[in-house]
Amino acid sequence: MMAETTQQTAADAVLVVEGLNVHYDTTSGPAKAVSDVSFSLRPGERLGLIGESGSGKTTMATALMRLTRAPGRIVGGSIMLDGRDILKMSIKELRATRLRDIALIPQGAMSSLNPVMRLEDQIIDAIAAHVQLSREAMAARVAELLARVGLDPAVGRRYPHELSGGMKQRAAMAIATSLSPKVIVADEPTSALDVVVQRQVMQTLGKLQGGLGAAVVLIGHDMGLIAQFANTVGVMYAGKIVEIGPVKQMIEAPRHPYTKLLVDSLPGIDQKRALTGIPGLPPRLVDMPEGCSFSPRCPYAFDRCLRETPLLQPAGPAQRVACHLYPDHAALPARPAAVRQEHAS
Amino acid sequence: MSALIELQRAAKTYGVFTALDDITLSLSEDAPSMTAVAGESGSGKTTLARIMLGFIPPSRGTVFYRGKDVAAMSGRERRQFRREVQPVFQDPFDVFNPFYRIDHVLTTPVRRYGLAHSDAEARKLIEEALSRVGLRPQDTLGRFPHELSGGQRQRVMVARAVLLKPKLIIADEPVSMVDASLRATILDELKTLNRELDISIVYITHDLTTAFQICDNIVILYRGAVAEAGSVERVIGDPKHPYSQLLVSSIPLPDLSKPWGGEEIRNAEPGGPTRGAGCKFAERCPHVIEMCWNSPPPPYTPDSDRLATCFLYRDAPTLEDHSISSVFRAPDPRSVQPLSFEVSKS
Repeated sequence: MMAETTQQTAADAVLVVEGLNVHYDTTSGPAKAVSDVSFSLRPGERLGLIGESGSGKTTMATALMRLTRAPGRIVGGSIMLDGRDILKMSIKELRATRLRDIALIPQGAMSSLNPVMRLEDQIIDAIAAHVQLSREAMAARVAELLARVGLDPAVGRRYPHELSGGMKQRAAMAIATSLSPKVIVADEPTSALDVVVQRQVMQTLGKLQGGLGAAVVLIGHDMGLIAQFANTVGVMYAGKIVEIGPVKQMIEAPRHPYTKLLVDSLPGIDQKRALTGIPGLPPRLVDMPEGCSFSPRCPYAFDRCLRETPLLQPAGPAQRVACHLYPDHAALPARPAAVRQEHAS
Repeated sequence: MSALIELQRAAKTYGVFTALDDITLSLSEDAPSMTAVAGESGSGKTTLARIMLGFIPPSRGTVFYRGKDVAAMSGRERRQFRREVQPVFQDPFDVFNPFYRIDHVLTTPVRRYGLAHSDAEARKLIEEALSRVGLRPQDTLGRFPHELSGGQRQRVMVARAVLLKPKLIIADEPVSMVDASLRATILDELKTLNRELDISIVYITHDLTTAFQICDNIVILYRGAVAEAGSVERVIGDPKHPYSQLLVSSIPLPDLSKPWGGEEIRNAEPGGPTRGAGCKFAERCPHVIEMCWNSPPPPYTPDSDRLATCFLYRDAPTLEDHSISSVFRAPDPRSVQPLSFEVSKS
């Protein structure tokens, strides 16, 4: 059902990103941090975008909010939120849209709070920029928002330094959801938290999102966390989405060699096995290799991969993958060496 | 069995705050092991590491290195201790001076400990250490820290430790700032050092999956005290202490057949006082009973290779000598495990 959204632009999508390109100007030319990214989200859908550092995840999150700052530039594409292009809005429209329709839970939300303001005043600040409420109504709203993220309303009187990391993260979630946005962008919301607190925060986010019917873009680097939270997973590599599909297929039957290696690099706790990393390093974004950007690290790479950039193509039910192994193969072959041999010219 | 490093009832307090409470632990010199220390922030993991490294003295108790009291070592013994017990820190960014080339962190210990008689010999040692951790010397030496990735920088730090031919490496969250795809490689190297160079490793982490994969035994700390300890198979595979159960059930596994536990978790206030003299976990514990509030539970041994400081196991025998390591199992026999996925290591 939700699978179709990743396949094509669904008519009822709340967010449609098409051909998004974000570059950073550097002395050695533009670094293509986000390159031709397209996806769409239905209301209530949870998309997890996963990638290594430098894959363009955070650039993507800021671009979705149109918060990209120099030397970064959004050089092309569209971000349609409920039929309106965020990239074409006037500043006034944009300010009215942020928080109300699309809200960001920033990376390290702990340091996004104002250290010299009480928590409740920060929440009021956010709401008052959009709607006028009486003092009583505002106080009731703040108490409700805090309760919804699992904080005692009395916590509103505190300053950020009086809160633990998990509480600050919850506070940031209370602000982000204060106007019931349609889309929540969460950029590594739990990266600095302990595993138990991480689980609580993510479960709270899940409950909030369910209650609001909002769509979530969760950006992260932990496949385990994404798997536990998302229903659709997109894998980013060097600024591109290289594979996207329903979480079950992405974990159990990944098609892109990079996705497979990412899943394998996370060991479980059932049995001991040799740890497998991914050899090599991601490419420099100002100096992308010819052809597929993963080819220098790919155990399957054959000569076509070095020449030609693969495009996202449908593969299997509701999955899309950018890899030259498809459509020739039905699934990711088990033996890379055999593939290389077969494709050798 | 002679002990490489031994902590006897070591504790660290800062004023009224107890960072680490009464730890007795010894690691064997004859059977180089890999021991994980896990727990949430503020559990005392790093304090334990710093005491073992001799960076801070314990407030109570004693640390022995190869039978000698670290606090009463002669200058020469201390130098040897400093050389043989090596740290690897969490942050592969902060440990480098950005104005010096990578070479600096490698040549300094060689000079300081007089490991080489000539520049050529020093160079050879450094190149060997770099190759040992999977770095190409020609691509690494002469570079500045910002020219290397986080993973490469962390490997340089492992190489620096290896250079000194240590007997014990204390790695404090060595991969928490490294990407998942590179973590496995670095941890694998630590394991190889243990197996091939007989270096004992203390791996401090909050990540139980990697602890399970590379270590023989684990100590789980909660607010400075040992909650549970024993072989990783027991403690992580079948946790007994309610806190370890909470930790294990919160691991986000990339396995859809194992969803996160759904139960609500009670949270402690940050830095809040623990109520009474009882178990430190009592206020968050779903199984709390009256006796938990009155006195701290002693270490019970529900299995031969595990202890749990929890009254739920009060029918099991208590650990007599308080030494955590008496429930440790022997390190894995050395075996080369086959790679599950065909990848050539470059």
